[in-house]
Amino acid sequence: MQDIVLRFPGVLANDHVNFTIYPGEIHALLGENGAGKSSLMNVLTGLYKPESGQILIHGKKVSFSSPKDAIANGIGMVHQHFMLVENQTVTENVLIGLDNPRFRLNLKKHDQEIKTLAEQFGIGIDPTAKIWQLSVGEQQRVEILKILYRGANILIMDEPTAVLAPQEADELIATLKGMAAQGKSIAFISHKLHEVKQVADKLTILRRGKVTAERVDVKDMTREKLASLMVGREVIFNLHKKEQEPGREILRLEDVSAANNKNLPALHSVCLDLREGEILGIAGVAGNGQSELVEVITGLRSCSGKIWMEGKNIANKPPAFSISQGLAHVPEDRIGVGSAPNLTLTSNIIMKRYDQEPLSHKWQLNYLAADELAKQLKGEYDIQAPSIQTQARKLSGGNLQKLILARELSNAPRLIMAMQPTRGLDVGAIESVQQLLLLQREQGCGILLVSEDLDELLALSDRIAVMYEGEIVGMLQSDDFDITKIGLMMTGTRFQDLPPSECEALGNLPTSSFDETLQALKTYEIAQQEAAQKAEIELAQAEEQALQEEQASVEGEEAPAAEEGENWLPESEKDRVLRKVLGQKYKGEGEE
Amino acid sequence: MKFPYPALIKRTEDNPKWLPVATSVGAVILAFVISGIILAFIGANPFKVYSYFFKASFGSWGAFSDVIVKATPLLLIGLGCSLAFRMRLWNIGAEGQFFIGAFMASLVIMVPLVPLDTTPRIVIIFLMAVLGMIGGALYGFIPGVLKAKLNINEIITTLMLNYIAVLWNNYWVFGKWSDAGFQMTKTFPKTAWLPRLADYAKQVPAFSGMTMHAGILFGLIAAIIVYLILYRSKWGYKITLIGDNVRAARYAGINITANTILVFMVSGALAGLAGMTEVSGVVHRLQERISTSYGFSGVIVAWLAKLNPFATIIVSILFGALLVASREIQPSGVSFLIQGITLFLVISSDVLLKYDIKWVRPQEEQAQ
Repeated sequence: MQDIVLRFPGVLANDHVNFTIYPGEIHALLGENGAGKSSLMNVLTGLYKPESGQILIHGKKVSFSSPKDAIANGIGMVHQHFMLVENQTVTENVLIGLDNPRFRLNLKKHDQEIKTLAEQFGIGIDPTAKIWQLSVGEQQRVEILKILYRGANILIMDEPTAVLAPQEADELIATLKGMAAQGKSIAFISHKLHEVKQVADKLTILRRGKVTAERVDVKDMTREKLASLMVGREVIFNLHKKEQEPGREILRLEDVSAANNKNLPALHSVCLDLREGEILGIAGVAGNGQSELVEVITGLRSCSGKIWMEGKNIANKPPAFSISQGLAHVPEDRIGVGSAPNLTLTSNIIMKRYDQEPLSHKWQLNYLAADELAKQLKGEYDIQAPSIQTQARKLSGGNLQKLILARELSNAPRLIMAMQPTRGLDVGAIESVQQLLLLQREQGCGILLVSEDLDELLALSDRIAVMYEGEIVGMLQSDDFDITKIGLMMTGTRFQDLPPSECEALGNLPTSSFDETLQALKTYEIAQQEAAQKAEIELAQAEEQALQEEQASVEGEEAPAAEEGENWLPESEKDRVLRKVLGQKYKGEGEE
Repeated sequence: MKFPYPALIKRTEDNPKWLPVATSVGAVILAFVISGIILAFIGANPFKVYSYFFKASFGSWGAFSDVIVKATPLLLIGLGCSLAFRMRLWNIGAEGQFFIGAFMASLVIMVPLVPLDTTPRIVIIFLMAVLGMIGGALYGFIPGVLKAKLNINEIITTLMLNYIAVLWNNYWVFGKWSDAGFQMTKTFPKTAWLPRLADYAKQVPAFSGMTMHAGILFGLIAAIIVYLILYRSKWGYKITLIGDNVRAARYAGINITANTILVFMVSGALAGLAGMTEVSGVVHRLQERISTSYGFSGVIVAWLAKLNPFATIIVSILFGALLVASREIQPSGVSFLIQGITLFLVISSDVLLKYDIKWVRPQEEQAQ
């Protein structure tokens, strides 16, 4: 792919991107959410048409207008969300949408065909099983089979491990490596550094639609380098953040835990505090509990633990209660949660205060007063719309966000939950949104700012907490902001496991983190399957030995600098990490 | 040879105010045209049929009074549906709520709850109306709670509850309250009758024989109240907001559970009141057949009126006229045919509000 440019309204998703992949290669495409990875791959599969640039396959120029064209040219994609028919068998799902068989379906014959195909690539699956009987990992294999059956030579995997359990992920990686060995090319989209290091040969990194590293060898990269290439370090705007001492505490979370929509744990004993006139940034890759955190504070999600807002426990109170206490919420999903798309500007403006005088009187709603307020805010916040009777869905992204901010900020809030307030906005809108937040900070509001844009967090926050898998893994003060540290924590390294900041020798960092240790064990498991005897012996020894020795042996396999690494760990912490690792290891075996 | 074919182009700009009205009226006219073609097929002259229709419904004041009698329950039920549909609660249980309302109103007489010979007429009627509304509200409460607490599909529950209500009603009119073995109760005393125009024939001779009863006043008052709720009240704002985006409403601090149950109960209460007007104003007893599927026609009325309370008045009169006319012509199914086609066309005509139709030539498309 050469010079691909793809533009969405207000966003440049791909800015002259080059992407090259060779046969038999696993090529990772790394980047934060919204960096343009999926957009680029959707261009490759024919879902989007690029504005300019070209796609060459074996040196021949091609042009796709639909995924069908792409598959005809041997390019297939496994999406994060599977597209399978629950009540049909594996074979039936593989055959769906094909012209052959045309009318009569000889299932047995095709079962055999698919079995052979699966065996060829080392994919274990029963072609007669119904989809609903399969685990998520097996369903993913069906998706892969679907693409292979259609003769794909280039497979695109969109964050394939995001939905898998660790063991399943390891199996998948083994399968992918096997397929690459047979000459297939695999584009592997991910934002998990350890995974990329484990699976990929080459990698390309995207940030804000631009390539920051093209076809580099994974071996040559350290996690720190990857993290900084991925999250970047440029401050675009000149924001005037006033120096000011935060006031008294306005929000405190004590041991807050909650489940996500699938009823899986999403928050683990989160403790946080926030003071007046302070912006607390929450960094983290999407889906690590940030949404749930904001939802429990705003009362949209039930939780355990205590949430104190100015001395009142607002945990598990209805949303109306916290709204009455002055809690403003700028939601992530502006259309799905933040607005009523078919209602007018006025109706959207009064959403949180239709109950207050002069907008309402006893049972009545005063639409004249409401229109008055809407007009006033439309001017104050510069919402570009034909009139206050315009439906919210007709506003552009930036104007819709201004509408939401106008509603949330104009009602004298004490505390603001701002979730991805600038995502998807153009430069001008981003700046005005950020100015508005800073203004609220000066007025003594406590602000919780959740963002995936690290530049924004660094520019606005007084402190930054990093979330990973539902936990706050670290908290940085403004004089200690370090993008490399944040990047490492976002991808699973705990604050206490971070290298000390004196150690500037990037690229020669010891790997003593919990995550790396776990990774070492996982690598070992794969190695075992592929008969890497050396590691097997080492771990067999390790299991017999005492805890300390075992860690040494595992790390010895992973990196030569293990001894250095040990020094950074306090004794008790090391034990805790190891016990956890071993616990998981043994648990995993028990299940098998 | 390639022919141009119509394609739907999504419209982005605002609709002019007259367009929804125009499509509704157009849908009704088209329904008459299509029914006319079907009538012509079976050998009738559609113009004759329609002129007879018109005469049967609007030909005289007496006929018009009959139309109003039929329109009364349709209006009340249509208003109840409008309220629920605004919140995207698909209450199609008005039929059942209507029956339970009729049953509860009859309790006043059949138990009796008050001494019938000494209590003044206005008190009895007031009691019947209140009990009818309570009955409908309770019967709306069931699907409301199931929807709000357990997220059980209200279309299924309300539909099923209709049958239960009808059978419950049958139990009483066939069994306990049966008048000499007929599937009806004894006639209610005159003090339980809603006043009719015919009652004032002595003062105004023109009223003689006119069956229009005070129930229509309930309907008109209810229309005003529903209008005030929907367009002037905080509650109406909440209903509209929930209807447009539940998640936004929850985010704005609105209690979805409570409002779901409440809207279902008010919707049921209006259908229950319709049941009361029917037993107290028309048949003067509880009997097996008190509804010519008013509950379902009410859904059509609400939809055709685009959930606007005042438009509901006009549409219910139109549908009342169809019902009256169906008595006059054979087969009586013709008016139901028109009803069905109308609903079908009205719902499909919504497409025109969102899309423009453009004729596309195949070559053009390829060029794009």
